[in-house]
Amino acid sequence: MIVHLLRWLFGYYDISVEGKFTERFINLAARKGVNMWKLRNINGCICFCTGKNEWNTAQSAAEKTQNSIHIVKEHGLPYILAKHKHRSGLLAGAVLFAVFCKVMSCFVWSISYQLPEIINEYEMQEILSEYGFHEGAYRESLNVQDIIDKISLKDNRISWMTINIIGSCAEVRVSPDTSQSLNRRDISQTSNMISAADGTVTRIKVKNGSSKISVGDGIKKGQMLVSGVMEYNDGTNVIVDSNAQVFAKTARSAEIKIPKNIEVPVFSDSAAVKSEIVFFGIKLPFSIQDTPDCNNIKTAESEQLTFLDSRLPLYINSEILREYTKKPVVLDRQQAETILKNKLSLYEVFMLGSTNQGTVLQKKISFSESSDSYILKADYEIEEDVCIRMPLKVVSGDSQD
Amino acid sequence: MKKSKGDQGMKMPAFMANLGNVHMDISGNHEIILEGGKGIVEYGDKSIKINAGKYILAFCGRGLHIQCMNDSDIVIHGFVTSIEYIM
Repeated sequence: MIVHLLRWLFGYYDISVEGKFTERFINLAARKGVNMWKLRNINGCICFCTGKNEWNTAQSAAEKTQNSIHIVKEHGLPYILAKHKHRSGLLAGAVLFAVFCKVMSCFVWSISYQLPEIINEYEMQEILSEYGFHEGAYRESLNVQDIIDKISLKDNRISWMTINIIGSCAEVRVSPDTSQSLNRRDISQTSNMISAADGTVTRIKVKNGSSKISVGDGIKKGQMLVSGVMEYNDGTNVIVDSNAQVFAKTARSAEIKIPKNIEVPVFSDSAAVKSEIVFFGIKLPFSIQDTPDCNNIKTAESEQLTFLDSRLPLYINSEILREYTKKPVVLDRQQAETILKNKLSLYEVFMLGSTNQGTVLQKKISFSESSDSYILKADYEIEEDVCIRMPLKVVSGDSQD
Repeated sequence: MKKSKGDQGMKMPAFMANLGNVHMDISGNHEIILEGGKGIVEYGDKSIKINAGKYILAFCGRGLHIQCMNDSDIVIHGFVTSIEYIM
């Protein structure tokens, strides 16, 4: 393979020799150091290939052995260059391309992320951009270790981070700080646990402190549930940082109203699309349509192109504008119920998210109608952890000798 | 390496040159690498004869051709049916 490449680089000839003493020619040419390959005897005529530099030697050997020799074809890079020597633009383009590749390879164009669930990709992009690490950044100007140190110190969610730059591609890997999920607290602090809501106690789990309530007790908001003062049988008291979970049944209620007469958007079939291609940070619009004059809703999409699992520095951003008109509608009972139940589902998601490990035990829904609106009332019985921590301030008294 | 008088220009070790032997590598019946040959006596599609000094090596077959050669080494490709030593 390498030999073929070298022969092509330096150039070689297809040569034909004919005469009465072709074997003598072969022997003499070989003795004189002419390298021959692909020798063929075609109807008494010897055809072979030899290097460009050996033509003169072969020619003298042919003359000595009274054979006629001529070049059938030329091969190799020197002849290709000679053939295209008038096309200076081709050479200039090749040189420019090589320079372009060399210059572009000095920048980071593709960043891939391996992140835990607590940090999303856009957030990490913003954080890295603050320290100058983004697509299109000059590689030599990036102090990767410095960036890693600063981000790891600043963001408590990150325990370990690495940025690997290979060529123009970078890979960012982050490991989360799992110590926060263990709820480690500063043991030098002391606290009580108090109730966040009214309810009835169903379960108690005390890890530290002394419990002041038992299962079945009614509790009020602000009532102390677990004390940080632990009393021992010998009369000594120790103040600790209390830690407990107290589950209680609590009540929540919600009321949602919608008017009977509402305006709904009716979308037209047509949509205006504005698209642009972003290449190495340069934006080139390739589809432009007028923004509709009447009401419209805009949705934006951005797609990064990939090739063989590698992200390219090529994005297609699209804005889709859809016209709509508002149409007045009078809701009937069934439609109103459906809408109200959908809103209630959304409320439940946020409501449960605001509780601490809350689960719905019972739910009662009632639907009513007034002169101008429909009303949905929901009453919930929820079991949740109602403990919240209240720090204790410990003031030391003057000691008497 | 000691060279004998009659072996100027040959690249073989002296003991082989004195024996007048060529070194032949045969791969199946389709490739022959010959080292130490002294020239081509006959070159054709069905027969190639090489001067080995004290004798002539004749390769017979079909589609025979010299793949590459220099002053002392020859590579023959083709379908070889017989090899003769002609004294």
